[in-house]
Amino acid sequence: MSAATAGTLSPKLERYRELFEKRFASDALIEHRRDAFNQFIQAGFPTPRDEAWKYTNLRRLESRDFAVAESAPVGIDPGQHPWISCTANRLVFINGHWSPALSSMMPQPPGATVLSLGEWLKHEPERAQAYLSNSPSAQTVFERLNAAFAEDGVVIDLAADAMFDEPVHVVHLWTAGLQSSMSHPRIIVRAGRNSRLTLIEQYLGLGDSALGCSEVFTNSVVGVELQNGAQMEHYRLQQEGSRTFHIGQISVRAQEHARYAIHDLAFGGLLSRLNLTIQLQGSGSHAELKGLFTPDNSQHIDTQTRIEHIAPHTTSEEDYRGIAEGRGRGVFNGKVFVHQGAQKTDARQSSRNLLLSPTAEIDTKPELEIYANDVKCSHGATTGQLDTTALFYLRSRGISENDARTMLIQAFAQSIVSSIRSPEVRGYVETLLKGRFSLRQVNP
Amino acid sequence: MASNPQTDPALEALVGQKYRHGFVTEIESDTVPPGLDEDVIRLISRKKGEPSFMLEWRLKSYRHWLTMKEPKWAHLRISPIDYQSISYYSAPKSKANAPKSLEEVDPKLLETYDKLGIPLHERARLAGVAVDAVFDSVSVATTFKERLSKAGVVFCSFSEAVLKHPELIEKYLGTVVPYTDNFFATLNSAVFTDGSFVYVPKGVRCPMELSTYFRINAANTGQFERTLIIADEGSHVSYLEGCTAPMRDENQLHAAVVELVALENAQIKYSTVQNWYPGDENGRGGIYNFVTKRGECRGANSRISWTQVETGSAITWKYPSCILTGENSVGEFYSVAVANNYQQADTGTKMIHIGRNTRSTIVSKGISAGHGQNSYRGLVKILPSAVNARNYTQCDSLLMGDQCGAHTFPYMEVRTPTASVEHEATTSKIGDDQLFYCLSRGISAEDAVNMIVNGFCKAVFKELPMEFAVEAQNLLAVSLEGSVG
Repeated sequence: MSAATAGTLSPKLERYRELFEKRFASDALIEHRRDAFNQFIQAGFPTPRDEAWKYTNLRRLESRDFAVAESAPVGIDPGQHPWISCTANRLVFINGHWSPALSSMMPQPPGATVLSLGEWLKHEPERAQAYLSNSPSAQTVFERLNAAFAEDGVVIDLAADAMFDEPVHVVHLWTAGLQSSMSHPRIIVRAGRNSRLTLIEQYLGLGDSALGCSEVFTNSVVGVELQNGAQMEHYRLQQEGSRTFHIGQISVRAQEHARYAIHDLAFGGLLSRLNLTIQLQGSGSHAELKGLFTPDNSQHIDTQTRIEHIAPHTTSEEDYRGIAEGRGRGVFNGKVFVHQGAQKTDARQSSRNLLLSPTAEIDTKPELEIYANDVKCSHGATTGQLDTTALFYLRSRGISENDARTMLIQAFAQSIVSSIRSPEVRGYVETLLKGRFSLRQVNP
Repeated sequence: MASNPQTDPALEALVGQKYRHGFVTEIESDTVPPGLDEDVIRLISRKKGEPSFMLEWRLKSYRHWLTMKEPKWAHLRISPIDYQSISYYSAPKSKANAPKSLEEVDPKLLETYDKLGIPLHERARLAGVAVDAVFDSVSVATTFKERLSKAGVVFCSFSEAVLKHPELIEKYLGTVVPYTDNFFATLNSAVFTDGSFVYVPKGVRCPMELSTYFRINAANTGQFERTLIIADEGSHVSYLEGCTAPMRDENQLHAAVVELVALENAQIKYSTVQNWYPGDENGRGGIYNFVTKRGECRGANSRISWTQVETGSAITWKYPSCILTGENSVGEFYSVAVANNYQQADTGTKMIHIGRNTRSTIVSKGISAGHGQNSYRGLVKILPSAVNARNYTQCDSLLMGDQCGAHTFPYMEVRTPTASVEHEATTSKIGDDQLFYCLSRGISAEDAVNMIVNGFCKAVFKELPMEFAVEAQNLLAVSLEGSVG
């Protein structure tokens, strides 16, 4: 840790302090923010010497100067947006700030509340803070940074038995042509007994190819609490621009018989990292994780999942796939942690990776940490190239090498995509992947 | 279920078995007072009559060691070690007139081996094994020297090799495990007292399996062995290492280093049965086994194979590794690790693929019982130069009792698209249905567990040389029977 010792701060941390004081000196919640900020300063940015950051070096992120993002004048034609179009409940955030003009909500079902965190903080700071304080406290450095700087986001509160018929779609969009900026969005989900929700979380960057596009930093935090029997389907699409640092945190707590399912699709960003922590606190709770990451060019995509089986009779299933091309580097670290007393746990984990270029790299680390005996846990990991016999089979049937390779890569990704239940998301992702893998020459 | 095996009194008695090899032989030891500084290192070097390059190497290591910190990354709880309270040199008193043959060996020593069930001469003749017995830190008996020297194989204690073959030592020592490698290896480089040395010349197939029995004896003496095995082009050698230690309450540090070098077309098979004192049922005492073992397949088509059965030690920290530099070279790792009572094991392997078409296989079986914590930690690294490299890893854990833990930390770093890396791991307990099946066929719970555990470990046991396989099965039975929950 590049920890600040005895009051002297590194110039970079000092810069964060300046930003912080300037922005929030007169904020209603300065005390809460300052606590979190001081904890962030204490720890400093992690280094590769920290086991959790062994494969991801943050030197580049640390060296940049980011301003706090200001809301941009809305210059987006709602007809020309890049996001999933057919969703009914949509909250759009431009450079981290809620844009009412681009957002649209169906009438909310009984017992369900969806609102912009920024608006709430503005109008009822005390109540909003009280609500936030009820959430589990920030654990990691970036969660603390988020707690200090978070200005906007979404609060979704479901009373018992409430349910949304349509997914709630949250879009974060960086516009082109702004100065180097950072944003710290927050999403809070509280799902009461037997409630149901589908959440689509989408991160986009505009003007990727625009000249002079500057570097931006997204540091998002999502907190999910599922009461007994609550069910949540979560889709996360990370399609940030090629000059974006993206750090995401998701922490989920599931009570009895709650079910949480996530599709984590990471395609964009220059350096991207997701920490996904799921605590199965109630017996009978279940987590299902599907992930696909596709580092290309000089992208670095890192996924860290931690599934904690705390109560007995909890189950989890995890399937992550990576496709690394160009100079891309994919990192997967999946940990299944079975606490003492969490008997009858059933946990399955698999990490499969395709390595398609001699300059790409895959680092995978599927871990099991088990302190109970009556459990069934397994994991498997593979890294390799396309199956040569399958390639040969296709080619011997007159399919060109290029087409054959494309077919096999798509088939590899398809097993994650086909399990997407929301038709809006599935259609969108299929089109996206088709564009990514078929409209160009694949290097042999 | 017919009965719950955990409460079966017969099984309780079995679990409660005391460490069979626990006793201290009272031999006057030529021991240096506890403490470590440059003078102690000079003293060790002088006592052993070493050439000056050795002393320099030791001092270099010591100075580097002073800048290092103990590693903290392992999944282990280690009570602090006071390196100044360890005595770094202990040799049996009769060293002054070193024994030339078995008859000259201190009879008390021989008795010790008898108690351990290793009648040196008997066993050596019957099994056709040359035994270089290390008693504390100095080799006292070496057999079958003649037959080996006829074949041109050098098999002697490390100190003897330093005096007789300094050119080989200077050429190879520290080339696989450099003196800067890690905290414990560096400490070993500074203070190691003895160990074994093997050199198999070009094209020679070693006529017998080489074997060393280690034994920690004098209280408060850390053991710092150093083993160096060099298999020259086209040669073949199989080396066995087995350990037992007497019972006492104080933790003992054991930081050995083993280096293997396989040149072109050479093969080295290194087998270990480790049964050091694991501490009592409350977790008091026991050996700290912090070992650095590494082999390098330097030449094309070479092969290094590690097989280990780890049932002893309070704490095991050990990662026998292979650096696969030569084209088409092969690395193998077969391991059974047992953690019972309060034992902790953090063990595994590293396979570093550098050469083209290199292959490695890892089979690791972990068994946790009582309050034992067993971790597999492995690294498979495929560098861009390792075209067509292959790795297969299987690591399974068996849990007995609800207080134990089994953990898996595999690292896979792949930088070659033509490589293929597979890893599979499972963790489960002995199934009630499996036990029930056996019980309903009239097999006692104890035999059933034994059978299932042996089946679980079979993939590893079949890699052991014959006599070790038998010993390993017995060891496992003693370490585990009745622990099923």
